[in-house]
Amino acid sequence: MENQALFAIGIFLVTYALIVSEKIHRTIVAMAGGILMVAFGILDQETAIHHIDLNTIGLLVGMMILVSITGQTGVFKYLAIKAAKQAGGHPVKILVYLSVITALLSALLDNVTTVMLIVPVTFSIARQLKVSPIPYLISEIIASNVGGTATLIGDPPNIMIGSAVPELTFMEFIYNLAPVVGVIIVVTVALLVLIYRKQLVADQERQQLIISLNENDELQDMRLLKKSLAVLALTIIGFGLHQVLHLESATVALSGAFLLLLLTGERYLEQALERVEWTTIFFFIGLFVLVAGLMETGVISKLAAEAIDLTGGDLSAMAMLILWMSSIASAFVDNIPFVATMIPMIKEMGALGITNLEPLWWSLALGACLGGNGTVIGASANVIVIGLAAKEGYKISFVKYLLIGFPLMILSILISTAYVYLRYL
Amino acid sequence: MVCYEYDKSELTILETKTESDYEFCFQIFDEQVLRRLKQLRAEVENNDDLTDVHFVTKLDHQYLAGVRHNFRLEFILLLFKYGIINAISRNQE
Repeated sequence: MENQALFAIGIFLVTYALIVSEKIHRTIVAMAGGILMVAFGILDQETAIHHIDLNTIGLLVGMMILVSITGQTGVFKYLAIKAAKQAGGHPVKILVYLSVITALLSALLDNVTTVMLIVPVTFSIARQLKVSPIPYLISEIIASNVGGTATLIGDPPNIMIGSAVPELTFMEFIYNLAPVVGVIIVVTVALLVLIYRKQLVADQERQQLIISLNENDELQDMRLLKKSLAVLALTIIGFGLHQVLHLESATVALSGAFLLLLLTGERYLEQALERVEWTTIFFFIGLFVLVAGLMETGVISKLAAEAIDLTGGDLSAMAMLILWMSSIASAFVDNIPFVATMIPMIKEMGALGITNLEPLWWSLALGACLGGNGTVIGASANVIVIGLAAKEGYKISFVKYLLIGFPLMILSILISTAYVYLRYL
Repeated sequence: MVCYEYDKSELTILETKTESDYEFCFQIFDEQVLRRLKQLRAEVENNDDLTDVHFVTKLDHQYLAGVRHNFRLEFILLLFKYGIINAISRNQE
């Protein structure tokens, strides 16, 4: 192996280890790794910039702007309180309703945003019921990761896969992933009800208090609400038609974001741009350059060839290897760098003669997104919810979460294994 | 125990301490005060801390604010800032 390739592997492994250790912010580490790839001459600046997937970046920025403005309308709180009232204030039914709403919202928005919008109102509801919010919070974490798996825009791994493989359109993601996600959410929520039903008990007076809440008061700005929902709906329709319209998904998301800013006026501009998670955006940029170093030095090609050798070129074995490896890896390390590495590897497998890559892409999407449910550090949404719970005085320890999350994650991967095998292999 | 002084023709405030927080129950009779309370709510809901105060409204237009223990002082200052209370005093009981 050439020196350049060895340098690239060294930089990649050190960067990856530092990301996993969480000693230094992952964005700083990823950007430093990317810069080192250029500084050591493994990539020139032009090539590095060329490898930054602007479609992924644009899609993330566009959706963050759209959601930050829509979040200010109070519509998500309205939905949560309305659901709690529809459940008659019954704590177990509320768990089901909130989980389903979280899954649906996560399919259309990103998971972190969804939980940040749903969790505060969950605390309010749990407080009114005088029950622990922990069962709701754990259910919402799991539902957000499962729901986000269903669409191209639901979870960063899917955004990256959709962006890297133009044939996998928004509708293709729904057509291929939504059915299995539907099954997983039903099974998961049923099990969560079984697990938590004894903890979620509230007297009639408390349930009545929930019914007496006024959800309409949560809608703070009706004009903004109408504009936001109209643009959000247009954007989602745009995603559905992006291939017909010959537009990349980033163009659709950014069009939606700036149309909304055009309609709402300048007063939302600065705030919306401030709320874009720039740390996440730069994390992606660093990773794209980091992985580019491995691609340009031929490391990814070698790894792909090794994987084909290991599985004897058998598509079923490769799909299962990717599904299980990505789920276990995503439970313990950030799924974004993992997927960033796997995408060029799967593409390389295509170049090496594997003709049907579709099962591999869906295996990667299912494994990387659902794997996040395995531990408290498996996905960003988990970390955010655990942090918010701790602030409120509710500690969800690594083990406490693991005992619920990991078995449910394994179950979801077993369901996915059956699905991928029966549908594609 | 803290007593809040305000115009009783405009609103009433009832504060109770619970295990996890202080719960403020506002009954508002004046549109201006309601507008100011909504401004206060917008401020705490748009800050960086998502769990400092949880507001909900009841159908009888009572406003309930669950305030985290360590945010109570700041919340009281916000009540002053938005002109919802005029003074506070310590109840000797």
